[in-house]
Amino acid sequence: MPGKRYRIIRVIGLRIAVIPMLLCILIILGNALGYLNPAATSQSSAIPGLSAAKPAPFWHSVYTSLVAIGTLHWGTGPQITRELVLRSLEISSILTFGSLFVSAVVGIPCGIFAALKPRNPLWQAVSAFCVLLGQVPPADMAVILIFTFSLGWHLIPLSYGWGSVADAILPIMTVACFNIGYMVKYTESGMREVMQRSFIAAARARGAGTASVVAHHALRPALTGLLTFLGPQTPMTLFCTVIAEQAFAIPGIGTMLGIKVTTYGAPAFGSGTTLSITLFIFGLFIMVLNLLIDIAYLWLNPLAD
Amino acid sequence: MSFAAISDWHQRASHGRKRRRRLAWRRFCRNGLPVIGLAYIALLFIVAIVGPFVTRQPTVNIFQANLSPSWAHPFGTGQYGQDLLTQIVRGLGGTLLIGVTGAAISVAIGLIVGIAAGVFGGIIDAVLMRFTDFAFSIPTLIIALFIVVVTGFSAWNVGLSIGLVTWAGCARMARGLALSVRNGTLMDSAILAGGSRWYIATRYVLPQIASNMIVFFVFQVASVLFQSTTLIALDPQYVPLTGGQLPPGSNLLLNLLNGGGGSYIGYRWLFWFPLGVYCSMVIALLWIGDGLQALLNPQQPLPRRWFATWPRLRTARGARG
Repeated sequence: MPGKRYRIIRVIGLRIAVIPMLLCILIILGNALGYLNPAATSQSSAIPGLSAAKPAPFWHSVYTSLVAIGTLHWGTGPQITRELVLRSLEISSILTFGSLFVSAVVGIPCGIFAALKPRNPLWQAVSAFCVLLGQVPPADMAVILIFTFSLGWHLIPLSYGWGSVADAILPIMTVACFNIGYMVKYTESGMREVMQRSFIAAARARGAGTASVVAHHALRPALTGLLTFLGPQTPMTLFCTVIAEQAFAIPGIGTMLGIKVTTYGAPAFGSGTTLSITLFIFGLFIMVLNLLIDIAYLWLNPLAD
Repeated sequence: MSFAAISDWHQRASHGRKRRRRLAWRRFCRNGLPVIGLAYIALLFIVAIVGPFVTRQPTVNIFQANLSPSWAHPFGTGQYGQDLLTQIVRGLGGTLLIGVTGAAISVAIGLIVGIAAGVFGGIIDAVLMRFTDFAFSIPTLIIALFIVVVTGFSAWNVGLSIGLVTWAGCARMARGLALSVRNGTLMDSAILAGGSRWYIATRYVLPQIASNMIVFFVFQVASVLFQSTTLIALDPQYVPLTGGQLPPGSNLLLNLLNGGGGSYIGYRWLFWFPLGVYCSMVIALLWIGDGLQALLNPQQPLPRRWFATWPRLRTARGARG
């Protein structure tokens, strides 16, 4: 299908072209918000005896962000080097994409079975349980998982920090629990809707079995509804990753927030430079995630061409 | 045709309306869960309103610290000896306030943007929708956190900050609905009748999309509550601006939720009771939302009823004059 391929390439090219523009707007927004912050200039937040930090000039944040995360000057705190930023982006990517993968692998089959077997109490209970999992706040889910799998059943060794594969299991499960909830819900509702359509009846009339109907006819249109919901949900997934990183002491993208870092006398959060660079890094992550979801949507949607 | 026939037509229309309402209620009650959710949320609202008047601020008594649940303290006591049930009852109002305020603000902004885009069309539509796309791709919670840090930590400010940044989904949905109304013949007749844009937006478009927006509102309350737990877990009150003190008026269920994790070993009730109240509240909201969706969808099949609870309203055609 060359037409479809061309359309996909054109749409993706447009999206990629828009991303730098949006990032520039984010930097300007961060600076504008930073000037609104009374802590950025007042002495009230300073430790007695030390002077408050001077607000950085506007061009400073533009420069530091636009040299593609070069050497950043982080408030009055330590110098954050490019290696550290790239490392944290790498760790957070592993957590985010890993959790999306795990939740898709678990959630989509659960949703399909719950839609195909509306009278089966087991699958209905599984579906309801997954929706419940999605509503537990990630900070509490981290506590539950640690005490269940590490300290209760001794299945996963508990180690804080980042280094081995075992360190990634519980954080990925924490974020995946949030994603599983709506994955099950939207797959189930999409599949229920699609299975009543006429082309499914036609496929059945031609002699296709249930598995074949689901795999070849119903799955793609059923997943488009999930993907349209997934796009706006990416910021929340990222913030769940941040919470999981805080709970498991992983040096990921959450350290960029600079909240838990004590910077004596300096506004830890809210000066123009800090805010705009934080927005820049988080915005970049979210836009790349959204781009991938758009590609998946164009690939899955049968009406794309 | 006599006058009686006209009056009869009116009666039949009113009966039809009543019957439609009954059918809608039956769709709402189809699997019982939405009714349970509605009753539970109503109970929580009553407790949140009445609670602060019948309970006192929980007193600090370190000799009563970390007691397990008993008849005197049904949910146990906290780290400083405060009764956990009292804390939950007094913190419930602020939590519901966060949800309702945030959802109301986001739905209001989203409705204005979406209806403006749908009704005006053209360049306004394009600009507003690009703006909405931008709002989708920014890290909203950082901006919400910043607003909380600047304005101070309280239930109003948390709800306000989350509402100000989460309107994009509502705007996109309202635009889609407004476009579907606009492309119908009703809009042509409104324009031919000389209605202004404001008149069309408020009298033609808004009433038609209001029901869908109510459903969206209910889901949005649950979503705002979830986002506020994440926001509070990032600890805006410990940012140096607020001096590390818990400010007054921040007695929230969500704070209990956040602090419970540290006392999981040994004092599990401090973790499970606030989490249970929060999760049951959100699940009840989701059930209500599902019920409202079923209510608005007349194509959904109703379960067969074995007996009729209302008298037959439509009389035989021959009986009428």
